[in-house]
Amino acid sequence: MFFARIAELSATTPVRLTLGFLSLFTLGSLLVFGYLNHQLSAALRGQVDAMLRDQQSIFALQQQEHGISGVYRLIENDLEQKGNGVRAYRILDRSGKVLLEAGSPSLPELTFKPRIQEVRLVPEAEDAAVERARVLGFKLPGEVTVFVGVGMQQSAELQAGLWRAFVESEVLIILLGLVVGYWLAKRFRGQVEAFNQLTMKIVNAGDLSSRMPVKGNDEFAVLAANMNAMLGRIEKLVQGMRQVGDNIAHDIRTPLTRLRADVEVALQDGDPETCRASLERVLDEVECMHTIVNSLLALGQAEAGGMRLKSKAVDLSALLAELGELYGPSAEDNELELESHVAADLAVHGDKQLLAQAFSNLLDNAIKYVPAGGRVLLSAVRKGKQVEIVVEDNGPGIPAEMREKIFERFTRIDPSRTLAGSGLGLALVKAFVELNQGRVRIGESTLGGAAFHITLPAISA
Amino acid sequence: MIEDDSAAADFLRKGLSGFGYDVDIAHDGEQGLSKARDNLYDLWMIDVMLPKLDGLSVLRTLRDEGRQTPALILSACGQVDDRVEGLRAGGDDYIVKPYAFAELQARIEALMRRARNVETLPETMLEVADLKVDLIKRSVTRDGQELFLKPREFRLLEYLMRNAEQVVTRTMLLENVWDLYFDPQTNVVDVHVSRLRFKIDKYFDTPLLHTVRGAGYVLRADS
Repeated sequence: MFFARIAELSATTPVRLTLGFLSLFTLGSLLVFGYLNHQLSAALRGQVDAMLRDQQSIFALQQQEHGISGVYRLIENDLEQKGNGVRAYRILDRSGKVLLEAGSPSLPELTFKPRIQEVRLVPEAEDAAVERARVLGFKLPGEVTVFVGVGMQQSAELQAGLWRAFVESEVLIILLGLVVGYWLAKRFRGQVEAFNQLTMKIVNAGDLSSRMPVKGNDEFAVLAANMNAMLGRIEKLVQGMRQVGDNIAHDIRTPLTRLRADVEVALQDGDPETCRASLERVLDEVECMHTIVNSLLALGQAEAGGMRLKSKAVDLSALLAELGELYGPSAEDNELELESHVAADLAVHGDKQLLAQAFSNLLDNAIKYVPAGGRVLLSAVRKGKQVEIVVEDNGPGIPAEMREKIFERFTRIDPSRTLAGSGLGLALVKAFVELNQGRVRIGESTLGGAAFHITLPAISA
Repeated sequence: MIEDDSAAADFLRKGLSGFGYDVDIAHDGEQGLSKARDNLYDLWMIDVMLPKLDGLSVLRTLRDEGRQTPALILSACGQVDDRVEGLRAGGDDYIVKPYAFAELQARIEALMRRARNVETLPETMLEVADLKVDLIKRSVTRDGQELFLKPREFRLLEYLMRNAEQVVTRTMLLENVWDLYFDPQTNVVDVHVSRLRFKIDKYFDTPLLHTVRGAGYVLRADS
């Protein structure tokens, strides 16, 4: 059970990271230890060697003052003193006869070399440990050869202690690392598991309303917050799409119902005149659905960024004047006063036809919704780096709570949808204006009704 | 007609043969190209999206070979720049799917008529019955009486006169008289036409400007 869990956890990122880090750490500390050990043994050797050379000068001085017996005494003293570690001496006369052999363990067979050599001492007993020693051979006056050996046991012990300490701390660190790694992995796994559960919940149940709890401010918290924001956006989009789907169904069903009725009437009644009238109405209904479908396609393209713009300089003053002229008679027929206050030489960079359609949709709306006797004002001025175009009227206006929503597809102020219209006109206005780097907002007109403000980046005419 | 949708092609062939047109159909770009090379047609109708070779490439190839047959482009896209691209490729007119049959028929007739008139000198005088338009003096008379038209009404009348005896649609008027390429949601064009009609027909016995329900308008001497 526990091992299965370990196996499972060992696949996680923190465990892999911990193991990798621990191996790297061990390798690195081994290298450091090796270097330290090397330096230490060199230093210890240097110390022993210095001592050996001291002995050489002390022995020489002693012999000069007290003869060879003084040297013997000195050796006796040295051996008696505890704490000096292992010492071994050998003195030979001119013919190579051993005059003195002192110290235990003792020196092995040696040949004279005028430098320090490293040798193995002869152990006292068969089973005793072999000790290494550094030996200096030198000549004293009177052709006497002296070998002095100093055991390296102390330095070996020092090095062994150091190694033990190193191994112990290494084991401790690795254990600690494993524990921490295991804990991190568990924690990490828990957090990732929460994300997995949430996504699986959404995938399986399609429940977009769930959110991740956001704790602390680590990267998991940031991820959770971002994921929540993304879910919020998706949820809104899906809701919007559902809404649009319902609305399309409603807006297409109405003309379809009328169409069906017209066709039924035509089929029942054999009279050619009635048939003809029915068919003409059918054509109108088809036209109406055609407009809805075309608008939806254009909106879809504009919003998905699939519309390739042919932007060039547009003489806005001329375009607005033309639209004013196009809509003038229509306004007059509806007993509306359409005034045009367009400054001269306004120009923008954009797609003329899309802009024309946007302005024309606003004028269509004004003519449709402003009651007879009303006023509609189309104005345009340059404001710094922007051109502001305003289409305003003294009609019923748009309630403040509808002003944000009105640009969404199929939003109609009149919930009963009695006036003809697709509910797509303003969505198209917004989409087309934004495609041309402009912005559109609704305000209240000084005339008393709605005012649509469109700002577009100006260029010099 | 180069059109890969055979149901749509059959429908168009039947509809157009009712008006006396003989329609030959090619189902892909390559077939269309070879048919257009091997036969003399009065008009090419070319769909943009075609298998093997797209419609605009077919048209460009034919134009590069020096063939001048009028071409009407049928497109399902319908963005303004597609129209520009279509006309640049050598199209003479452009119609967006789904279109009303009446719209298509009106455009075909306008193109054929334009092709027939290519040889004649630029007109300075347009006449339909007793209605006369002097393009140089920019004056309009009916039955010898001078009529006073606003500049836009003059352009509207000029376009209707040039296409006399043929149905012109609202879209065609908006494109040719106002240079606007979209469908307004209200009857703006109709209002202009009815004002023009008021000026040219109101005080005379025979009406010349007729409404064709579901299609558009026609300027015609006999009713």
